Amino acid sequence: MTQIGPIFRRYAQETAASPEACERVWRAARACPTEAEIAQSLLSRFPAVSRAEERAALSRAGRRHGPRLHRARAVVLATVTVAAIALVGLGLGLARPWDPPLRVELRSETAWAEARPARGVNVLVRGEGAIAGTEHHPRLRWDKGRMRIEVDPALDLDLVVVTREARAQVTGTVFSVVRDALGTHVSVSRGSVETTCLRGGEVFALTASEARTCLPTDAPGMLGRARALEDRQAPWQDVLDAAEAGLAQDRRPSTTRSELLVIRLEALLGLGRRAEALEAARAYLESGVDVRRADVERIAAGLGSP
Amino acid sequence: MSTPALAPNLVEAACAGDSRALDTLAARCAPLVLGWCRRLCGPRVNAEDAAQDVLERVLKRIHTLQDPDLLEPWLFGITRRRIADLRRLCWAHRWVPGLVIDGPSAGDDAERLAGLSELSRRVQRTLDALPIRERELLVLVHVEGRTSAETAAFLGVPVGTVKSRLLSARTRFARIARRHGLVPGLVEVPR
Repeated sequence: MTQIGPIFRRYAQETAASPEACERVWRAARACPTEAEIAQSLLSRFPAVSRAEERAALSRAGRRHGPRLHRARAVVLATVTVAAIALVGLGLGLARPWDPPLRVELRSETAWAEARPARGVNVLVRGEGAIAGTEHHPRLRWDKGRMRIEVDPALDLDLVVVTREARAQVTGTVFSVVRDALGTHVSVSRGSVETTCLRGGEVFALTASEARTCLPTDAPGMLGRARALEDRQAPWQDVLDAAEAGLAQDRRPSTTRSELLVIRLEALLGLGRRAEALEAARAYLESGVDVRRADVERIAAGLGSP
Repeated sequence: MSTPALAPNLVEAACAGDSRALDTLAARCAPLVLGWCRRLCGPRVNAEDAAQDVLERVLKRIHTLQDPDLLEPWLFGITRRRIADLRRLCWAHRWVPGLVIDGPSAGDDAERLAGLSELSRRVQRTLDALPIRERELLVLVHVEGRTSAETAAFLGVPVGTVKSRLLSARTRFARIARRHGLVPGLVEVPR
């Protein structure tokens, strides 16, 4: 058995600092200058100069002290300004609510179909159309058929329904749009709809239980309306108005124009205005269009004079 | 093994700013500080550089010493803090390549152990393998022969803590010493 004490005593004797080592350490510590001594030594070697002397020395050396500082300050200021503007812009951009884009096709030929193309917009359709724009600014293009739309007024949506004949802008309401050969028929169930008929640019503020029909804007459209009125056995005066409106839209010789001339002739006959009908038949035959020549000649023969 | 008798008036004069008294005091403290550094620095810190650092601080801060009777615990506090700083710097220097450290140069283990016998070399290696807290205890109590009360004053802990830690340190030292082949059948002797 070995005891720990003697081992440590021997170790203590051998690791005791020798006088030479102590002298070496002590002299090194004493020779080490204090901070004040270091400062004094530096000042004695490099005497302090005033700021004016420093600037003069720099000027002699060809370096301009002031403008460099000014330029540095300007660069820092510009950087900070740009960063601040970027941050503000970023903050505003982030603060703006996200408005996701919309692209929904609405198509149901035979039966009513319900769609919710955007939050707060409920559409019941039987026909064809599409919704574009964004969730807060839906733009509904309606091509044909019937459509009933319901908008939540609390969401303050900017909803616009556009057909070839009308533009209906609504904020929170229930209304329906029917587009057929007669034109576009807008009827309001609740709320208000600002309807603009593109033909003539008339604007109507429709409220609950009010309706408005916007007529076609071109000659083919008016031809379709006139034929639809004929098919529905509408008053001849309405058919005549539609035909004349179409003729006024397009005065160039065309198939559409010749069809409109024939419908006008039939309407005048239906109204018993024989002299005007005879004049219309003569005008058609002199126009050189042969599409409905046989029909016109038959009608004119019935009138007694070709 | 404590410092050669230091006249209280010498410490007071040094505290008062007497440069000659200060020189005398520091010269007398040098063996003590260098001994601590040799035994506690470990293989990576140069003991003489560390002792020089400690003595420089003693010269600068002697006026902060409150009680001349507590000169040795005050010296030991400075020494152990400086050794800990240097060991941290050496660790950083080892793991961060290219790092320039403003401090004493790294120690040379071969040079440190050159003047020692084989037995003392093994004791040194065994001490180096101990946690620094237990190494301090063994050096103060067994190597320098201080009492538990003196050691408690040096380390700033209660006497009971010194005794319990000392028991743990002896046990660990004996275990590591046997592993290092220091002396077969080494046993610790309670004081």
